[in-house]
Amino acid sequence: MKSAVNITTLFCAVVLASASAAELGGKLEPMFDQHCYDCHDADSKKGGLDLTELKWKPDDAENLQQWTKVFDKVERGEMPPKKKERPPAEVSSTFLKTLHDELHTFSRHKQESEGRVVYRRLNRTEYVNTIDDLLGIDTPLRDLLPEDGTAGGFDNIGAALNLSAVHLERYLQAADLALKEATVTTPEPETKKIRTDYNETWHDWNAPGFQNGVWTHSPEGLLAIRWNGGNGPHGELGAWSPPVPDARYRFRIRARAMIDKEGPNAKADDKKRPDRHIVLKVALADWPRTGLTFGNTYFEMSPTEFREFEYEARVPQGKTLWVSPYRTVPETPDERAMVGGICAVVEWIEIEGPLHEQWPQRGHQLLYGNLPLQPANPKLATKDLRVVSSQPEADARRLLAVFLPKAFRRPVTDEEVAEHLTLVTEQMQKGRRFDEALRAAYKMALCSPKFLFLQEKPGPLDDHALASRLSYGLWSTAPDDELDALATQKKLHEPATLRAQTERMLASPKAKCFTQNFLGSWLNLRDIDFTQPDTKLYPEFEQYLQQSMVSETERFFDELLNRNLSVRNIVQSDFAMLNERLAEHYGIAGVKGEQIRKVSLTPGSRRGGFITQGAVLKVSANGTSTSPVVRGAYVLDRILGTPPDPPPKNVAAIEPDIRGATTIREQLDKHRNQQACAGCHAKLDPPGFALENFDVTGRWRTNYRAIPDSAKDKVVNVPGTDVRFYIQGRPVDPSFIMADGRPFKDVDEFKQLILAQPEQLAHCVTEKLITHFTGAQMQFADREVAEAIVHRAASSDYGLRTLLHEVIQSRVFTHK
Amino acid sequence: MKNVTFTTQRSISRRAMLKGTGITLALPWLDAMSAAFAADPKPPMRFIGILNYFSFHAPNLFPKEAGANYIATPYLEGLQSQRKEFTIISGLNHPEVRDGHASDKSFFTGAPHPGSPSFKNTVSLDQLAADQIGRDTRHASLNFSTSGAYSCSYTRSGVAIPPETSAARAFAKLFIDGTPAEIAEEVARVQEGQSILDRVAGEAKRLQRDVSAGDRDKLDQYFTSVRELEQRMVRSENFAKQPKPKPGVPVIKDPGPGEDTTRFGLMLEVALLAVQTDLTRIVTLYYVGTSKTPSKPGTSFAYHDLSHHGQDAGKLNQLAILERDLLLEWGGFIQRMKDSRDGTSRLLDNTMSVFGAGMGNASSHDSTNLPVLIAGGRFKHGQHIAHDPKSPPPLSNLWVQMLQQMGMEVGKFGTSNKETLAGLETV
Repeated sequence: MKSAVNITTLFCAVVLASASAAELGGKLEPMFDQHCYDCHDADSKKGGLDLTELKWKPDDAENLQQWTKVFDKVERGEMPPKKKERPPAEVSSTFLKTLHDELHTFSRHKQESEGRVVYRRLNRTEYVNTIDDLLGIDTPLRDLLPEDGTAGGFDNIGAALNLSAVHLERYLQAADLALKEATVTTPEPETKKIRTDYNETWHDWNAPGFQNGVWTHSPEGLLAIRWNGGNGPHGELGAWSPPVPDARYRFRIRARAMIDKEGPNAKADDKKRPDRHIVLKVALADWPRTGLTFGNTYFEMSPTEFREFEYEARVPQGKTLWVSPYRTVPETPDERAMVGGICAVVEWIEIEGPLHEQWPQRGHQLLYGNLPLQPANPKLATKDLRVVSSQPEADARRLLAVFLPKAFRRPVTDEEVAEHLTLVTEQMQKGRRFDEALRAAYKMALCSPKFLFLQEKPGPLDDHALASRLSYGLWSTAPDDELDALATQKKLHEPATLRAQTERMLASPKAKCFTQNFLGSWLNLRDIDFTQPDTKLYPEFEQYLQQSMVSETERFFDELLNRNLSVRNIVQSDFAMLNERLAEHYGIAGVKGEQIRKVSLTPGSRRGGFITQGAVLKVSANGTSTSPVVRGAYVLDRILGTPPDPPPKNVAAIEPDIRGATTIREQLDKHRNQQACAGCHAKLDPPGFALENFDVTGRWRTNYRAIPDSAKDKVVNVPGTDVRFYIQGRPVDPSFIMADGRPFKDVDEFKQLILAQPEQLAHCVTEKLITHFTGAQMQFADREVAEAIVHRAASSDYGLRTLLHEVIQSRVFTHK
Repeated sequence: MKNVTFTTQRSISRRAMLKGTGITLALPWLDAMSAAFAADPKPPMRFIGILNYFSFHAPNLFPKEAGANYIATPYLEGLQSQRKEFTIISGLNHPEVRDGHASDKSFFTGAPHPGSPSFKNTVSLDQLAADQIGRDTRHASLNFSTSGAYSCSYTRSGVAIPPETSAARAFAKLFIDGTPAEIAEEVARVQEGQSILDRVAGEAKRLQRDVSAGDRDKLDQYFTSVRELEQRMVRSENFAKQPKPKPGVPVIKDPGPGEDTTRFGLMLEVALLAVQTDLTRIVTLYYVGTSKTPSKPGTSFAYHDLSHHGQDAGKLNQLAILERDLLLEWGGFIQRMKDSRDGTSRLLDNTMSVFGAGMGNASSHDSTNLPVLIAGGRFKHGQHIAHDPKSPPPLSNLWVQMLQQMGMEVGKFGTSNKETLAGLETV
């Protein structure tokens, strides 16, 4: 037994604690003394923790985190460790209650006086959406801005969103570009509709043989774009470039598939199946050619009949339309998808544009009202127009009074309008034109902290702040007119109104931002492109599959939300959202076409739920190999809500053995057998191993794939491609034991074990929703809110929509 | 009164580099200053990176012998008067870059898998340097291309920088003063920015009075950023008001379409002038042969066609003419840098020029055994460094070495695994 510690040194009476320092120490000491100091004193310092030295200074974030961890570990029964003597019930409960109350009181007090959320800057997505919606434009501003900081995987956390001179410089630039884009300087461009085709396309390759090598002709004499050996298709429509660049155009393409039996790349098998469906890729591409494509969209073409496909996009300078065959669609799981000899026969292409809803466009009207447009220089032939005013000060004041409340997302005072007006006056005095001076004032507004940050004061949020929070949460953009009006009328905070607005906003197409951004953070889909599966080991992986996987997960989420399905579906569901490509990948028969649709799963299918979807399995792997530790941490953090501690610093990362000599299971064995490691790995490894039957692309596997060591290794013919690069490696063994001792033999049994506690899933999702909707991570005082929400949602079996409404109605959302 | 601070080899905190804010290294290097101080401060090191889209026909370029006594190949014959000023390196490649023409995207960045459909590039070494060094010159960097949308320089967010494709336009931008109206407009724009910043800083100060402690810190961050940006704008404004330097040569005009080698030469000339007048210290130039047949006697095919010679003897001969001409242009460029004074040294000693290609064999689209030529930069030259094409060090090791030659504290770049390229030493 260790020496008693001087209680007065243990605590600093900094905080308005409910008990005096002496009382506090008295209540914690029995626990510490009898059950903790043995390992956690200055000599042993197990896990780097010396409780004798731990002072109570919760204003220090790290100190607060340590005390919270102490509380959590005791509360969960992880400390004292299982092998040690159990503390008597009253000692334990007094300890927990005391510490809980201290932590809660501190946290709550801080929330009431300062709020949960630190001044929250608009992130890149929110900034661009806000500007686009405000000015009615569609300019690619995102890449101009620096990347956002994240916390807990979320990119909209006030505390993690910093601002530097680089940001401000870019905000100025972005505002400049956006305002120019919204400003009309030409007469209304005519929206034309033209029809063209590939026969009109020219290449700048002079060699006469080149064209014949690139394209071929269909039996009816139309030009057919085809895969040309290693060089890929030449799908650029070279004959066309946007007459007005950076505007929107609508393309209609009439095409059908064709297998070129006679071409140099056709193989024996292809000739037998000229009736294959082929996936068509439509995109934008550079012209002159670089081979790069953007905005890829995939359709399915029939080999027998022409179909019309529609594609709409903003077309920048130097880009043109791209149409090409992409891959065939195998009819049975063991049939091959190939690219040799596939063609797209394009009958015609119709191009309509530049498209615009009104002229002058909405943004211009907001900025300049109905002020007349006059030629910049009547003496010149150029058609350049600019806005003029006969009473600049009055006009500027009037226009600013309309613009500023929209930009700042709340009503403005006369002083605020005046502040901006002085800039207009000053600029005009320096000799600048009215329209330039006015734009300067608009730029000022768009660089102001009142635009860039959400304005929230401690305590209950005022209606306008509430409108912003709701709008950025569900639409990632500023409130629309209806929401704004309710805020002005001070009705939004009424629970029924708040609920009705939430429903309205969820039903809007803009809610797809919620799906994308929430899943981007919660399931880390934002990083779907972070790794490229090794082409030798996973040759069947390609872009259309990846796009489909992301759509699958987004649509699945939408289904849970729209039908208020239980959070159990996170782990297992009786349906999946699939298209033909995904079904092919998952080995599910009977799904045709590129559209994602709801598919009932046979009982026992392992593809229900998020955790066995391709996108989730990909982002929790590294492109070459899977790691049960990484996947385990992913599941613990995002699905079960019990994130693991970070790994100890001196442990090296495991080098996956892609030669296949040792499996990851053998390599990780060491952890299970060492006490220092077992603490975390007993929790990390089970979910990770349960998912080991899924490779980095989410495909089911019974054996690992490995790179052949020598020419003698027997190489496997990959179903679905021509490719034979990898060898069949060691078998996968997913069986494991949960931390609490329950065993499972594969992912299906694992899922059943977790489903026994749906409230844990509900709790995790609730915490993630709270984080997303408020812009701050969970704090101690928030726990009671989350617990109450989960408790109330039990009666609806923890429906996702119910949880969402609960979060929005709760104090964490309606207060700063 | 101008404050002058000198380039010291001060360590740049990683935080500063990551934030891209950098620290003030030095005001423009002016010859006049060197006399005013006792110690001779070192002039800044310049970087001129050139990329050839179609590579060079290796048998005509790489000597059979390694080391200092290599026998000049047909392409290197024309460079023999500068033999001691350059190094030819063979065998290199970028790990995990085997993507034909797309490999060019990774030449100056070292990012793997540039041919993959969702490839996202990283910063090119010239832009990394420009972020630090570029602030002190009127133009942070100049990026040229002989044709179209192609660029070999990438920003921090992996975005290709739209290049300048006209030597004439670049010359005008650098050396021809705008009309008084144009200058006034640029100054007005910068002043407008300053006016805006001043006002929003005021707004931030007022907001600060009313908010909680955590929020105050964020507003402080905002306020600090505003002030920092204002300082940068003051510098921009000063530059805008200064007359542009007079290069003392006639105005450059662009050649006709298809005259790519001429265009290339003119761009090198503009680059040289820009560096001599310290308008910039970082230049990249992407040579992309178009498909128009040049007017040079003896050529009846365009470069692209020739580079896909398929071993046809006639085409190979024409290819050799074109490629030799390119290297001669570069040789002339090196000579002119030798002849230019820069402080007390030759401009060549304070300029690193690298001339390479993203493919080793453009006919087969092979991205290994890349041709790399280096001149200047205070490296030991006059040799052929031959690496084993089957297992060479990563090319990015050279980039790390070059970045360090520019005084940057960079230990890793792209897929580098060392801080110097084996075989390349500094003087």
